[in-house]
Amino acid sequence: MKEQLLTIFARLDQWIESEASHPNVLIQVLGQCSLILNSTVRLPLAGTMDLDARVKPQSRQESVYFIQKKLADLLDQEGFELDPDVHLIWLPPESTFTVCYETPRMRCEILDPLFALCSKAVKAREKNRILIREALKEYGKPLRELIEKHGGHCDYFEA
Amino acid sequence: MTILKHELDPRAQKVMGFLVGKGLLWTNQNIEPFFGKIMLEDAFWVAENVEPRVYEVLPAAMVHFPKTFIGIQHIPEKLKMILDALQKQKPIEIDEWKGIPIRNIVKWTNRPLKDKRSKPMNQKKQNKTFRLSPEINRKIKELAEEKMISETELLEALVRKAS
Repeated sequence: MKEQLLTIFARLDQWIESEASHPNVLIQVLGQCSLILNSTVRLPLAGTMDLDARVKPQSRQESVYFIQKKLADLLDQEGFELDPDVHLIWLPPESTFTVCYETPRMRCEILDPLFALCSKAVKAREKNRILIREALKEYGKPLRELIEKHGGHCDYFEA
Repeated sequence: MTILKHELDPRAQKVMGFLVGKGLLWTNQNIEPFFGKIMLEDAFWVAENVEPRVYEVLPAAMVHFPKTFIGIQHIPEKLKMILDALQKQKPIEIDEWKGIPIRNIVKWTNRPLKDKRSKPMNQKKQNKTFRLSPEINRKIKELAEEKMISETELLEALVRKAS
């Protein structure tokens, strides 16, 4: 899964290189895929075949429509889908990201696990109750505090 | 990285193995693909106790592979209604099932699967019955034979041409 996604990013990068007119792009991976792409995460994970990714130009003003479309096509060829509702995902305002793939044309970042898990615990607790229960054992106090700071209830996951 | 933190329950091995094998889910756990029969109650148990995302793709698995699931006589009313609508490609009257938005459930039935054989539900052919005059019936048969295509293909081509 991780290798498949990184291969797709590499293919997108090659395509951007071949199409010289495209702007440099920033891809921010959120959700379950941000966890699988992070080699420090040691949680049992499963996910549906959609990628939550924000595609943005690295400098303002430029359109990344065609890059986003190409990414959706490349994902589709591998049985994945680029989630069209990514803009609806809530993130803690203090969220940070880590680079997982970088070239002069393209930079891919993954949402750091505490923030990805907090987002799930606060906004989609039912679907993520087992994951968060495991994550609370793994990450302990920092995750607990972050979830409670943003209105989540850790008791729900530990009951 | 493969997580081997704890052995998965055999029910989870089967259910997750099937869903991962069909390309409806991915996992970083050590799960072998499984293509045998699955008790529906086991699928529910796995969704409740191991991975709630099973609920999101279970209807897609059930409409594509109905013979895989045993015990469908005990299917909950809400799921029965969802499956019926998915099979008939009709709108679903509820917004969510088990906390999963219905649009997500529908989405996974309309995507091609890993086996490349199962057609997305929104591309599957549907039955339609007509009572045609013997003359038109004969003409359809003759034209189809002349063009060496099936009668269905002939009618589809005529409709496409007219639209």
